[in-house]
Amino acid sequence: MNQALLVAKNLGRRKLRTILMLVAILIAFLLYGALESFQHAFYGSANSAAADRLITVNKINFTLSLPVSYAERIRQVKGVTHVAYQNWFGGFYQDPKEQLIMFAAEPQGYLEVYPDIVMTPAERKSWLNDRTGLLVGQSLAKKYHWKVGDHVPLSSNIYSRSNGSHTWDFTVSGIFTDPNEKAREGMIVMRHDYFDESVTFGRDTVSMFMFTTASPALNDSIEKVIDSGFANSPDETSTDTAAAFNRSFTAQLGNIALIISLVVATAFAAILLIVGNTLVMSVRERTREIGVLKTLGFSGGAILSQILAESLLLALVGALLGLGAATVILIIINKVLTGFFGSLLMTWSVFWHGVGWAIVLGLVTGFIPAWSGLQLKIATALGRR
Amino acid sequence: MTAFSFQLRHVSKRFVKGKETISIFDALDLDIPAQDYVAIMGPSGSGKTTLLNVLGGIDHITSGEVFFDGKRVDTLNEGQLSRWRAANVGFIFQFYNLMPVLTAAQNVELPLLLTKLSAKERRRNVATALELVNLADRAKHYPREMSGGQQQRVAIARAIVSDPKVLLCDEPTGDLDRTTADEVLAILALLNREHGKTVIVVTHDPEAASHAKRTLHLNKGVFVERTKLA
Repeated sequence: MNQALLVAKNLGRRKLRTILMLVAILIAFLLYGALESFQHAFYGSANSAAADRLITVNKINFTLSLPVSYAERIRQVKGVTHVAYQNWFGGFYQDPKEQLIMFAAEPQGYLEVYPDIVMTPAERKSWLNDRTGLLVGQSLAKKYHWKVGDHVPLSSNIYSRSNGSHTWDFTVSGIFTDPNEKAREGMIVMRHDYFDESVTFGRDTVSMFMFTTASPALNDSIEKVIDSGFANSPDETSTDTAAAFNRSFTAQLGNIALIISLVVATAFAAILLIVGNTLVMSVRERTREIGVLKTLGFSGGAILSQILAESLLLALVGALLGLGAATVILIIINKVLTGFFGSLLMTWSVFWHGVGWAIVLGLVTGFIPAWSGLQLKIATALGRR
Repeated sequence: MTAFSFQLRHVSKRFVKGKETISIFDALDLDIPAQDYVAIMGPSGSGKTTLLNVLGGIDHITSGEVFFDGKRVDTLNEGQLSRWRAANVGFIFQFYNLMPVLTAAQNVELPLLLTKLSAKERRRNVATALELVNLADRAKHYPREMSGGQQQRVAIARAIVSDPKVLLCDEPTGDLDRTTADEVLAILALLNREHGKTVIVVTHDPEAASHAKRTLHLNKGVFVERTKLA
């Protein structure tokens, strides 16, 4: 026998109570793991954009379009290195309920503005040469089991073709990864020329311009030059860094971070009270036994360590079960919502933060009973006075 | 020259309860030689349990001096007292006070967790202690699976497993029938006689006291009678 066994034996003395406490902690960490991972994926993709990449959209609202001719004027601005533009396609594959993140982009500029996209030179060349070519992010290609060369019909729930159809035929030119922006791996990019020539409305307009600058230090001045250049025109612009644009886009969905923090904090506060109170009761029931241990020569510090070890073990086991359950749920959600939030998986950062919170929870819930165990007078504990 | 286990000099113990100060005993002197077997008797509230607490270092005195093996122990702090108890004193209680979640062997092993003995040495000592109280075959039984007498014998094994010099027993037969009580008292006598343990028993039971070499009668904090048995 050793002290660890003693800790385990104490936790096992009322199995139902221990199981209920574990379930309570499990639920808290399931919530924490799932919501933090969601927040991580949500804001992680928003913040991962390169610093030298800027976005220009319609000043009124980014859902309104801009003339494609603006591309040339943006290109002329001193400090701008590469320019691309794209339209939101609103695509789906077979099932209209499974919305794809799909854009129609000018190919040459797109590859220059997003140089981090990883694919083979052959795939790159194929897309530049094939008007019906399609670039597919790796996670999406895995989901639909698409391979390079596959012929894929994709439909739009916004645009229609001049022949009345909503469906475009494509050939998969390349399957790409993007180590810097994992969210991009859930996207599809078609060629803008193929899109523009076949749509029944919205020709020669785009949703946004994406461009790179020679240095992030030039961003502010370039933003001002572009936006002032289009001021008082029918289509005024708003230019910002890609990261800032992503943040403002996600902000429109509400203060997700605050909501998540409040939910997690509420769950933790409830668990803190439940587990803390139960541990206090558990230690109170063992008052006489603690007195006996002290009589045998166990010091106050040893008793304190033992009770803290119990609460820590309980919190860590509950947390690991909760984080494990969250991981499984995230894997399932990730398969269903491919690419929508980048990589919606439990990251090591979220996991280790969870373990850290479990240690804090264990120490906080164990502190009061452990302190009372430390302070307990033997004669009082044994009822000998 | 006589070697003493305990020497109490002018020991006073008072409790403050609200505005009232209660004196348990005042200027008490007591010598308990090594390898003695002493029974302390007295009515309820006479101070005998408090005296046992003081001897075991689990209660502090208000004034006076307590010596163990010629060294003062009343000045030790809590940590030092814990170590002193672990090394020198074994306790036996009326209601056994075994850990219900541990087997007999694990209960007996508890004091050894505070030593530097290896797991193998601990197991050997536990087996020896359980054999001494005739419970070797009950090593893996939980307290709830044993009778009161067997539980008390496990408690005795726990008290002696670290080979302390002194056994402090608080009503060790108070919860047992006569036959079982006699078995327990026989073990205590054996430990005193054969193993040289100093045994101090607080009891109401004259039969239990009759096993001791001498009996001290305490009343209102004063030894009123000292009986030396032949």
